[in-house]
Amino acid sequence: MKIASSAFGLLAMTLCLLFVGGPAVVAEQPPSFAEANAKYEAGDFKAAAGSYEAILGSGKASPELYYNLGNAYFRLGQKGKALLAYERALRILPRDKDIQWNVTILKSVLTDRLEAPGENLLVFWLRQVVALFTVDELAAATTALLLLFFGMVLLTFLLPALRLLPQFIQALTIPVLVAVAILFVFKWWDVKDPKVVILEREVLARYGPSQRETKSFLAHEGAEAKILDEAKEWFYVVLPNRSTGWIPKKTCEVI
Amino acid sequence: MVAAFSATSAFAEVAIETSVSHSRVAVGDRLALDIIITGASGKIAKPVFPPIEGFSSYSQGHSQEISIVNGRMSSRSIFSYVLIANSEGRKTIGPFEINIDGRTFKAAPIQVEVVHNGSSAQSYPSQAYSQAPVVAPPPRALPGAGVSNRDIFVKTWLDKDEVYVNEPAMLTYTIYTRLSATYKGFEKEPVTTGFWVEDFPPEKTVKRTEQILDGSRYVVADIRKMALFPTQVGVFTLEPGTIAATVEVREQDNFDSFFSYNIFGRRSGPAYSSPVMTQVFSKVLPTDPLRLTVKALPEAGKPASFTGAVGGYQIQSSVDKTEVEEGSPVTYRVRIGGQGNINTIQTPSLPKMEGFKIYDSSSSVNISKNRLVVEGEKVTETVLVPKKAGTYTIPALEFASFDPRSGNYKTLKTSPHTLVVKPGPEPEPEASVTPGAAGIEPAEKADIAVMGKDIRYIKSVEAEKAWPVRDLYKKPLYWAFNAGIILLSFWLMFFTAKRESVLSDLKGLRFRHSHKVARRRLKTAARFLKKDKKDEFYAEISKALSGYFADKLGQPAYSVTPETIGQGLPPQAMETASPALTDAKALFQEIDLGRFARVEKSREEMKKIYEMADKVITQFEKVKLK
Repeated sequence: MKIASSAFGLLAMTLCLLFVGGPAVVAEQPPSFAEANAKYEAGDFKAAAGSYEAILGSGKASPELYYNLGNAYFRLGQKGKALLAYERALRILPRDKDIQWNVTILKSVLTDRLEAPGENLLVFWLRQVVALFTVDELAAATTALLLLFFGMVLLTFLLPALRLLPQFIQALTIPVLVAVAILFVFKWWDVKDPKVVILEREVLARYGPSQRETKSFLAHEGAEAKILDEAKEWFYVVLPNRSTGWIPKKTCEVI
Repeated sequence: MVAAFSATSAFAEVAIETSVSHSRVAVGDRLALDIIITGASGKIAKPVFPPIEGFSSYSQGHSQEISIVNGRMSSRSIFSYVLIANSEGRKTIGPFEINIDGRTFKAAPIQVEVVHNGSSAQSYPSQAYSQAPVVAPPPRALPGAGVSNRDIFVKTWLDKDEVYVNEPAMLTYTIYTRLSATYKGFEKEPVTTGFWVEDFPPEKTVKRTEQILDGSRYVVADIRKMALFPTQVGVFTLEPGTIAATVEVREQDNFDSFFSYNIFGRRSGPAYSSPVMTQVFSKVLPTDPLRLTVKALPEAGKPASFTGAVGGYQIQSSVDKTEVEEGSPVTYRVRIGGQGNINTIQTPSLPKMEGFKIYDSSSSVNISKNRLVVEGEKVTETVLVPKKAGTYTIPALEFASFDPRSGNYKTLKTSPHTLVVKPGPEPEPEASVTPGAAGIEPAEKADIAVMGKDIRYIKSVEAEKAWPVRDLYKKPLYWAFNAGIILLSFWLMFFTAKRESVLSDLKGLRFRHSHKVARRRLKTAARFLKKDKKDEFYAEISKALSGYFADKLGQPAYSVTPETIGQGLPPQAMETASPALTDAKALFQEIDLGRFARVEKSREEMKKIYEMADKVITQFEKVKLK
């Protein structure tokens, strides 16, 4: 038991080490969160959105800030920017019911139907599950389970007489570790390529990074796409329905 | 199989029967001829027979009866004809040929005697119209085709030239004839588009009179009467259609026959003959088109409650009960009666009444045309269920109609009804002592209805601390750390496993090999004994014994002494091991004595020690240590 707790201590220490260092805050007096909210409450969504952007521009970021910014953009009818903000909020708080609800509402008013055709049920289920966690959470959980496993191995080594207890914990740890590792890999697969949200009303994707190339498809505001490659002014993106094309960088923004 | 068999047998049993109503008829009299085919199956063609001399023949149609009795089907097919005798003498009718399902059957001819019609028209018993003696028009002999329009014609007339919408116009067909004629019906029905038509029953319309027109005497009859209710405003031209009639032309016309509906009537008198040739013709009587002007109803003074009723009406209302309990139904009846197009009138409906449930009303219409006007009544029943006790008034209903005679609107009202509603039966008195403590009645559950969908409101408070996005998976240190843990774990596991296996395998190995090693050493000792090498012998025997016990008990060889021997033994093995152990202790002392005491040992003594050692090992080998 003593060694197990020391293993947790070691984990905590390691995580702390890994997370050292955040963005340095150099504020030049941006409006406060409460001030921006007051503008929203007064119905001045444009000013509110500007204020939220200013706070974010000053280097301060929080899921609430992104969420409120998304609401302001939604009220202004800028669905693309609203989705961008909501997605950024969800990256930090993936299990927040308010953000989830608003994303559902927002997606229901988008033009493009972006469902992966013929998706395997297992993949669909995995996608639902991993959407509830951040990639960091899954990464940390994987490491924590690895450390637990290591702790048990160490215990067996140091105290051979006690080997039944650690072996039992090891046996429990392994399947959980495998499951979490699968989720982690899946999530990693999902997030390893940056995503963009289309901000313009209509964007014509082409077969190459030039206006002279053949037209591929037409995407509308709020469509999300994964970046596969990029050229000087263009992103090569793939939509959830697996159609690919090059879109100008200025028509979209990376989440 | 059975059906097929019975069908063929039925085919084999085809019977054809011919019959006439009379074997003896007078000239001009009718004769019914029936050809009856029984037991035939399949398609029966119309019988073929040669023209019957001296008769006019009319087909009366074909009837068929099929009956199945006890699974056996029998059919009867009857072809009926009417023959009218034209000339005297013995006549042969037939033979007949009938084709049934491709096979031709023959039926024998029938003999009929036609006698002279001695009596005049008056001699017929006048059944339906036994009125004043009919004075026949002057006898005329007319060629058949020459029945002129002066001899028989139809006049159509309307009782009014101008009517209001929904005001009936009476259309009457009157036939005028100087000949004996039979009304056969309408060859072409009148065209009555734009009118609601109510036909009057023929038995009420047909009335025979006699008139003198242009010096000739005519039999006059109204053959059809109908009421036309115009549905639109405008000037209409009516096509009254054409009428079919048969005309009998002979010297003596029989007036009665015209209106006899039963031309097969038994009129055959015993003394029944006519000296004159008689011929029967079909005749189509045309009619003249009629004009009718339909006027719109005046707008002036039109009441709000007017719904298009034209005619003279009365309205009445009634309730079946004036006192009811709450929840029990009351029937409210509105009766509108009078002359006019009852079918199309609308009963005024009850207004919405507070405290009542009003159920859909049903209405019945009863029309009578017996007085040659369209009249009747429409009864509308509405069921009212009072919901609460109290006194209620069913309001008076207003019904407006237009009277075409006076050209005015008339508004009628029903009388209001007072309805006393008593409280329903008292609910069962509560068993509980405390009034009002009836317990909690659970509310009827319903899902909360979603009124609309919108985004949720902004968050007003920033969380104290959110987990910052680190993207650990992008950091090599993270992967290095994880890889380190995995490698370290595996190394440790490997190391632990190896140590474990070394430990366990060494013990096992020594245990398994202990006997073999000891025997080898004893052999070496025996060799030393032969060569008389005393010191080597004792050393080898000592090694053999201590090594054997050390291997057996998993102990190092140096720790095996006569004092400690048998310490590592499991308790259950102690009993079986004790003789061997005692011997072993003695042997160890002997060996020590032999090795370290400077006393010469004889070959025999050394041989004895060797045998003892062999015995101890053999004995201990039998002890179960595990």
